[in-house]
Amino acid sequence: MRARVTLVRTLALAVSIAWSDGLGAQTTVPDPRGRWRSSIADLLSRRATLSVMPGVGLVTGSPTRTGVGATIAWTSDADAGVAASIALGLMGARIGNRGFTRSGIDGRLEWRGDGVRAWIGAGAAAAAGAGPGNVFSMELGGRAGGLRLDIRTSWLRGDSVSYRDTLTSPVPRSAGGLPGNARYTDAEITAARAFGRVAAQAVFGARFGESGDVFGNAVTPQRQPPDRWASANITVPVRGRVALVAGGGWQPERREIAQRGGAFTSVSLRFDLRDTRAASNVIPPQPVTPSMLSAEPIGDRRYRLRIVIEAQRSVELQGDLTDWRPVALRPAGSQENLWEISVASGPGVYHVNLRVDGGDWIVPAGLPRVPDGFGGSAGLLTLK
Amino acid sequence: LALALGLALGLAQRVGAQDARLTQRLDAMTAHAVSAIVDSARAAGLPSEPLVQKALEGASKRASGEQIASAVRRLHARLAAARSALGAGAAEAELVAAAAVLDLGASADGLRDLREPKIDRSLAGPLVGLAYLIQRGVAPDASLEIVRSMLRAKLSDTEFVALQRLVDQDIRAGAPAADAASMRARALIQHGPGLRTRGGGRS
Repeated sequence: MRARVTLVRTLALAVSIAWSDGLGAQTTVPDPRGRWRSSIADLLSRRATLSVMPGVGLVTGSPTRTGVGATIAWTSDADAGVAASIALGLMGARIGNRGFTRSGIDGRLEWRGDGVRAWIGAGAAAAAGAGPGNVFSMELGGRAGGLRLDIRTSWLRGDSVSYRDTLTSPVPRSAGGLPGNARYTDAEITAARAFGRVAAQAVFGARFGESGDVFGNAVTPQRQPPDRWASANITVPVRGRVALVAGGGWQPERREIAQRGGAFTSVSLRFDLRDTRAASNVIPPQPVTPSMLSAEPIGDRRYRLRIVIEAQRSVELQGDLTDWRPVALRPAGSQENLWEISVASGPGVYHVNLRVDGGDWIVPAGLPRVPDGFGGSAGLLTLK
Repeated sequence: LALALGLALGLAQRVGAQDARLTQRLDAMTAHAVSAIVDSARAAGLPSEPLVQKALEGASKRASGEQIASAVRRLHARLAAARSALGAGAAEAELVAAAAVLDLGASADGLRDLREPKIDRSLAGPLVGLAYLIQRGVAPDASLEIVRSMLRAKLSDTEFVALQRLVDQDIRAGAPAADAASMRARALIQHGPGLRTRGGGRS
């Protein structure tokens, strides 16, 4: 019960800070607690990203799972150094004839280096229905290039056994503990790659150290062989900020989101919305000013093209350099909103266009705009 | 018989020489029309790759076959005019940039003046800078004069790129394009590369 109260207080704090910042009443406070509060307010005044994801999934031998999840996240800027982020999440699901709702808050500190990121985070959630009542989690992770590692430990506290029937395996029960209390650690490696406008991911994971009641009076580890899973998914932009996500493979049982384990297939739509706080009286954040598309030689007839541009999912280039076929730039990692690609070509003057998040083809910032002869324009890029 | 075989082989070589990219991306009639223009350019000693790329650009932008052939034909004419203005020794990059400048409204005579005997350097960078000024709203004659004066001052391509950045910065701040261009060019001529690092390195 105490855990649930704590969670409610945390959510209330977040909301009150957002309000005070929105009214512009936040001033510099000298004591450390005030500085902390000011930092959080500064974070919440930044551009938020709202992601809504309805979907349907099928797990072998289980009822169809339909649901919708929404996350709103604030992230501080950090070209290199430490960035902080806060995310509020809501989700609802229906597994057969059983329902599940969950609301939570997550915080994360992320170190960003040259092409490498590492983070540590913690979260808390309250839930009802076919899952545990409270969940606390801690995570460690890192990313380099297209590879990402996540290690997440979840502590589950359930005050009923109602969700046991929904899951594949029986919930561990320990002497003196409440049914449904459990802990486990998941490690996942994700490999991501873009193929034009289509983004693909492969996930490999394993579970370690599963045990029974860790909140109760006695901790009785119930050693089980680590579960292992693998899955893949693709994200295909449909229109504007809507993308179709389709996946399949084997997934772990994740009681914290009432997810059954086993072979699965899933299809979902993702809506990415920005500037969700435009209606409030918070000063709107400044948009990222696109930099000039720059080119630097990196070898014999090879150049690296770089541009700073705000994009949610993809930046693509086409032009004389690519036989007018779209090629995807990749996030440079060393700097937020920096995208790059290496191309094989000799010195010269080339016509190019750029496309952001599957939108219209545009002339990259800073390049001379010349008519293309087809009613549009192209940019003139010089490789020296 | 030998003559007939030779003619047949020559014809076969011509057909075989048709760029595979054109036949893959264009319908047969358009590919044939574009190939004829490309062959004509080759015969005249003009670069053919920009013409192929123009056709591929049209295909990528879903232009009609007629539009593609027209755009390639127009570029061929621009490249020929550019070479006439810059001289037979002009490099492909110079011709591509000059053709773009002509498309933006500069005169061939104006381009001809850029190729002064004492200026022994590639004009590709300055021509791209010229295209930038015209496209941002500086009159073609005024843009040509600015580029000519920077060439006489022996400024490098780096200074031409710096000019673009500085003018862009000034226009964003509300300055008229012509005033920004002439003022920044004058400053670059007077102070050289130092201004770039002081004023517009990261703009």
